[in-house]
Amino acid sequence: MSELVTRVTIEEIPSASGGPITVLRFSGDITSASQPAILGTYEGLPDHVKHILLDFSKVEYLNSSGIALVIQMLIAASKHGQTIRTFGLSPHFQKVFTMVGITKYTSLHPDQASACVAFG
Amino acid sequence: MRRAGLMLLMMLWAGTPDATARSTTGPGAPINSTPAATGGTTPSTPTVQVKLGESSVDLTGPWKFHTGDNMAWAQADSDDSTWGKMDLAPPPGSVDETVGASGDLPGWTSLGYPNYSGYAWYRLRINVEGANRRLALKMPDQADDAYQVFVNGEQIGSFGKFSAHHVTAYSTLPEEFRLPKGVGNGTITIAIRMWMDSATLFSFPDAGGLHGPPVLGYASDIGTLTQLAYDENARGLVSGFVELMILFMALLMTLALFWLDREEKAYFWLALVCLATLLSNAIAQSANFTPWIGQTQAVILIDVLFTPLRIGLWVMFWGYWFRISRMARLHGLVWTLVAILALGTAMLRPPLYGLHVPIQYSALINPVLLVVKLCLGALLFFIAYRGLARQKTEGWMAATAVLLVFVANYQREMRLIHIPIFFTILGFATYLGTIATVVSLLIITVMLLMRFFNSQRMKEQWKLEIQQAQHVQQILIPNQLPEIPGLMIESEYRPAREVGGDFFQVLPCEIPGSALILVGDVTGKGMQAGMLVAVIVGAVRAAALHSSDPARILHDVNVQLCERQHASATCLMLRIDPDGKVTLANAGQLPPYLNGSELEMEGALPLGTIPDAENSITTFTMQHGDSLILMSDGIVEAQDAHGNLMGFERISKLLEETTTAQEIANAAQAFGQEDDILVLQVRRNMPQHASEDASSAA
Repeated sequence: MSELVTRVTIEEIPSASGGPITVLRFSGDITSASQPAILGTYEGLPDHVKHILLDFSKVEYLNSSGIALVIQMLIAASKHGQTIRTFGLSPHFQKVFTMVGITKYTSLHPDQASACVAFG
Repeated sequence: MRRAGLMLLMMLWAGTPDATARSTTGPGAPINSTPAATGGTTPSTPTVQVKLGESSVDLTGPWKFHTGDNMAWAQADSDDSTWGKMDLAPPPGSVDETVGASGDLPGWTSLGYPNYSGYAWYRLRINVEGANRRLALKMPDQADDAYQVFVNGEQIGSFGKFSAHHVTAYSTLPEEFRLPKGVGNGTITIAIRMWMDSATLFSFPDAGGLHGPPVLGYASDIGTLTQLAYDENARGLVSGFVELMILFMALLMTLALFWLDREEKAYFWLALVCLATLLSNAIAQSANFTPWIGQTQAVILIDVLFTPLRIGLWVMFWGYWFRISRMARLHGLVWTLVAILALGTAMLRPPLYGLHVPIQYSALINPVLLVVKLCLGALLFFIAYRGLARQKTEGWMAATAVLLVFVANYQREMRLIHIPIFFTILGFATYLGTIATVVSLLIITVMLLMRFFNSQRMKEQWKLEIQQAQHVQQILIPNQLPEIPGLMIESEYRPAREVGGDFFQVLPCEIPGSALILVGDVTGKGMQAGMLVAVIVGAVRAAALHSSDPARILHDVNVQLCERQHASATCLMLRIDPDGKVTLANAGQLPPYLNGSELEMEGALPLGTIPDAENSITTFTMQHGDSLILMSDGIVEAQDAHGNLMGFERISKLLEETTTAQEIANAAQAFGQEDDILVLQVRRNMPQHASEDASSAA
């Protein structure tokens, strides 16, 4: 099966408390070739970003190498004191994310609204 | 139509046949040259009589001329007293700027009949004296576009095909027609029925009918003149034949390279460039020597089809050569521009131009076509700029080749800015486009061969490295599992590539019936993954020498991987004791299945992520006959043709019915393998006495 390019768009939305939430919306496939899209995008975010929301609802395929990149991003965000929440994962990948210990660095939510509420 | 209309061949006539073979003596009259016995010669000096053969005469007229068409005008007695006059003597020093021929007579559009196309007639009545052999008429080498020749009402020949409703014109060739037997001395009426396509008005600003006088003479002399004209034609086209041969060789070479290396698409696209150029040039050459293909068909094929296509193919070739990332977008852009260029050109060529597309539209269409064509040129340079900025090797060669490709394909535009595109080298007509094509192909050939040999060398290296990595992995992935008393272990390993990222190990412990089992998956595949597997297996084996605690061993490996950086792997390690007690440590692997049911475990980070990561640890006991299945994510993430994952639910159902590692691997592979597939099944044997009881009962 041919691999799709990873695309990411960045949005900023207000949280319930009024602080901005930076949303990274991923689409396409997330694989070992997604390093620029995932880590590159994260590293390009301004230093003042504190709340990050990851949207995986448009992701077609995610493999172990792609998950490893997500983990690297989460650990980097944790070191910077940033809060990351995630939504849009299928039940399959919610389970996979849980098994690889990602839930220690991000909470998984069914949709954007519940994730935003969790930011407070 | 004149030859230049086909391929911009600048025929270097320079008045050669006219100036050398013709005189202006009367028809059929021998030229007698008697060296003058000048006053300084004594009477005793013998006088030598020199007779300089017989010659021909230019029928410059003035001819009678009439637009329109009436076959009665072919007759000798037709009344042409009210017709206009047309002098066919080229003005001294006249030059056809379009084709570069000197001694050229402007057509009727420049002689009082502007913008006229269609039928027109020339008539001339001559009185011949002294003819003693068969006469013939040689027609001018440049004429727009087709004609029929009548002598005393009898048709003696034609150039082009005339039917009741249609005329097929060809690129002008040297033509001669013999006068009917018996037509010699006396009054002869010559009538020429011309036809010019409306599109010719656009191709040549001075278009219209005959561009020189017909020549009358003895058939043998006229035959010589015609042969001279053909020779001159060949001299002007020899560079085109050389170009054809080089293109043919380049085509063969690129096809051979593509056959040897199908992955390099640049070879294929260059083959298409060569093929399109070859066909285009072959049609042009053919039209300049034979009436095999009609002028309109030739113009459509060359101008409308092959010229835009060739430019598009060149752009695509360089796109593939420089490995431009967005080729799909480039395809869309290039072929859209090519389609516009072809469509617009078709509107300015026969049969549309003049008939369906008003002539005044050319003032609008021409600038648009120029812009579109220049856009393709700009795209070519943009691709070259992007490619050269990224790919420094062969830079000057590629830059030169791209520049020459531009020169070869933008001859008409270069003429607009007065860049000379025609030369004479050693007496042969040579065109800048031909030189540019040949030199660019030579440069590209060198570049292709360099890339091909480099690619072959890299492939050999890669193949060797893969073989070495496979060899390492064969050592690391056990073909034969060790015998562990009380346990039956089966494995199925099917890598997605030559060297996979999944791995497992079964290490017997010191206590009989006890073993350490390791299952893991490094990120990525291929040789790099294989090397990382080697590192992890080595680290696990080394750690197992000092400890049989799975958590301790994984911790040691994690520390080592974190020191290496960019090396992570999910791992699950368990120790089975002789009494069936299992201690399991997990670092990101999917949980195992005990008797078809998934074990509940907490998640844990893969090894190599952070140094102080904690593994998920669990203990349970395997009873006799219990089956434990460990599998990699290649099973649950197998994908069908629609992109559906095999998923945990299908695995659970599969395990309700399936009991062997091989069947599970088969099912995942049949569903659609995307990743390495690894299944390890550990079954705890029944005790010896229980199995004997079972046998007795049976």
